[in-house]
Amino acid sequence: MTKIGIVLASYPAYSETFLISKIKGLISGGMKVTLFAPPNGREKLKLKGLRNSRPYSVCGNSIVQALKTAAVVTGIMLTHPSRAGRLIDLERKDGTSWSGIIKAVYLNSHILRHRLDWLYFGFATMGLGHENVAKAIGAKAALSFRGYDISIYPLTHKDCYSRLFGKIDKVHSISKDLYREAVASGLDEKTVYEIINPAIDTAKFTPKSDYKIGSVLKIVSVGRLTWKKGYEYALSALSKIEMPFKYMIIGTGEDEERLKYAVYQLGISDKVEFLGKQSQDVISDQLRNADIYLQPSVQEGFCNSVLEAQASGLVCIVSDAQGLAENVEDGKSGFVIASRDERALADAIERIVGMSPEERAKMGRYASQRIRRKFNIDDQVNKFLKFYEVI
Amino acid sequence: MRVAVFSGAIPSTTFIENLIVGLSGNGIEVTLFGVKRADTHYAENVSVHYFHKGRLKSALVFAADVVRLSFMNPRRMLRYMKYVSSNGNRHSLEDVFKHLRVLNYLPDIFHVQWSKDVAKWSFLKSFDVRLVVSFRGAQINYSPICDLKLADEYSRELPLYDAYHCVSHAISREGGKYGAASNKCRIIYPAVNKALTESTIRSHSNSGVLNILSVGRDHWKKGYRVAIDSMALLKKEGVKFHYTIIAGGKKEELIYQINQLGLNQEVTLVDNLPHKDVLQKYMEADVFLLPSFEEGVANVVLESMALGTFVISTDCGGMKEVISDGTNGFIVPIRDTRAIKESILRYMAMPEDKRFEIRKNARSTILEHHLIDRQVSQMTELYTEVLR
Repeated sequence: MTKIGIVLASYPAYSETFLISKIKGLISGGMKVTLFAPPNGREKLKLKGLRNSRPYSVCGNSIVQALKTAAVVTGIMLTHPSRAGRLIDLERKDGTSWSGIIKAVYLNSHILRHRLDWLYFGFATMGLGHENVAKAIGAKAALSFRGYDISIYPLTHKDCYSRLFGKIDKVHSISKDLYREAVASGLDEKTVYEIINPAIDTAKFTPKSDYKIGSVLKIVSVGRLTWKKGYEYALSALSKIEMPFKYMIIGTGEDEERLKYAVYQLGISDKVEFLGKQSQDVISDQLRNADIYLQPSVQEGFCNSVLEAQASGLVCIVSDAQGLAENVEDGKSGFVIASRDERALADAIERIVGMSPEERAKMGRYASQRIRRKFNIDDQVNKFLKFYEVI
Repeated sequence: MRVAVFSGAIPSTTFIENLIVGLSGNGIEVTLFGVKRADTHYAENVSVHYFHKGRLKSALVFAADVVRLSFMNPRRMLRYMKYVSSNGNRHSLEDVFKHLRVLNYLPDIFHVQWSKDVAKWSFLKSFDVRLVVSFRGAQINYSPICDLKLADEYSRELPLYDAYHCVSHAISREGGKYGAASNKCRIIYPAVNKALTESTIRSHSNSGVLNILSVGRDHWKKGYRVAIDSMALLKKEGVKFHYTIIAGGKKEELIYQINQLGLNQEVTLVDNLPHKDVLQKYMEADVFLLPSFEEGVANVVLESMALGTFVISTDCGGMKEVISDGTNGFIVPIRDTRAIKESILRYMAMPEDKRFEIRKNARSTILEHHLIDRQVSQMTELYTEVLR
């Protein structure tokens, strides 16, 4: 039985269905899964065959922390001397200072206790601070590139992956574009890699049937209200459109005030509605009833919301940020435009409005079939089982 | 005349500190209430009463305040107890602690510097204190648009105030939407130190690279996203330029954008600098750009104009009341990438003698309307009127 440890930043939230269904898939595919994650205020994920192992927390009081470190480090040296010793050797080879080495032993002590075949970092950033632990326990190391970790984090943390990348046996990227960015950030091209696109539970999305546009054009976006999603560009573009429209934005986030003020200043308060956080059912309904789905992101890993919109047979306009250009087949399953380009966005809307209902239906049907064929969760799980050499 | 200049922090922002120094220099007794942030040295006619943060200390000070007020002014204490018993649910315990501090050192005028605080202090009206509030920017311009509860609170509380200090005509109109009557509005523009107007006005650098500068923290309302998009257009046109943004904060969005647009050579982000270094940067810049979506009146623009730096500003908040397009700077529409690019091309196409005239006019504007002395005497006038 293949044993895998998954390192995450926190317990998966129940809303992160894609992550949970992936873990379920690995378990049912015959893998034994251990989750290395702190709770961060979330409930423990209870699944048959899943084990949880929490890292030791770091506390603010330096005296308490020093005592705790001494106890934990001594403990692991006594119970697992050879693995801890290997970790220390590897860190010394990397030129880590003694305080850095002690920190590494402390932060990896919960992993050192386990015998694993694979240690997998759910995001590239999760590998930071855990560079040598896989080798120390005799496991192979794998990681995923998902977006922020490779598109943004290295910009504000120069050379952060210089140590990590050389120690990874296999990388997974959710899009080709992110893989290219990883290579540009120093990933060796010889490192074995696999592109496995995200997937959704397609059964949850019924394709729409009516492609006639009413007197008011209905446009929808789903996603966190944050700068990465590029909503300001969409709002600017929409403020210049002549025809009556209603733009619904589903999601919450730190930029709510920013976007509401943009809507006010652009004079489209009566045409834009912020629906906040919504249930999966409401989202499915909104998608089926809309005419156009917008994803104006400036940064995006791949974007499950666009997969869901296409599965609902909706005509999508997406920017070309990272994986989005692979998510939508330009001109066939939707339209891909340059990011940060308000005019292109407005043009694409006009183009869709100018199409006949039959043409839109053809595009929508193609999109929903393509998603069912290429981005369904069962296939994805199989690809991951192959990735881990289980099948 | 005893005036409480209330911002909640001691010391406060530069412009509030300038006001305190100016007022006390003008013979007004100034009282400050707030949390201590650093040591301060004020003139003798400025008295300071701190709000304490630690639980034990604030409880002790509260007890002392209660005893003191009960002995010195039992009727005031009784009146406050009556007020709290019927309006207690509107205030937190922390508020009550603060109220007691203020009631012990009651001024003639209580001037609230940040409008979000209005509900906390309107009760002072029944203690024969005149209430003044400043409308400075975001807290009037957009907070109540996005937060409808705040809008209701403003509509309830603002009419209770005796006067509104507005940093521009534009913001007085915004205040009007929440019941700030125009006859109680006094327009007093922000101001800068006269010393800034004493340097020689420099000319365009002629280095072959246009040097553009923005200053202000990393916040979406500053419009840096639009400015950087404009720089990408400018680069496409083949213009040689360098754009520097001096801004505190995380700047993740801007770093990403600069990288994505391939502007690493053309755009530099600089962390906060000491004020004297910022002044040096203004003087080295050919153009100061204010790409903001919202401002009261931006102090950074006033500083640039005082030093004789050419300003391009968006038409946000009260900026149009300071800059008249083509006379003492350029005005461009808000949220308009192309307009910013065009304005920079317009600057480049302008003959140097015309640019120099605009720089000189900018300084004259500051000398005429935006010096601290003038601001202080206007504020003194406002206080006198309120007490009449």
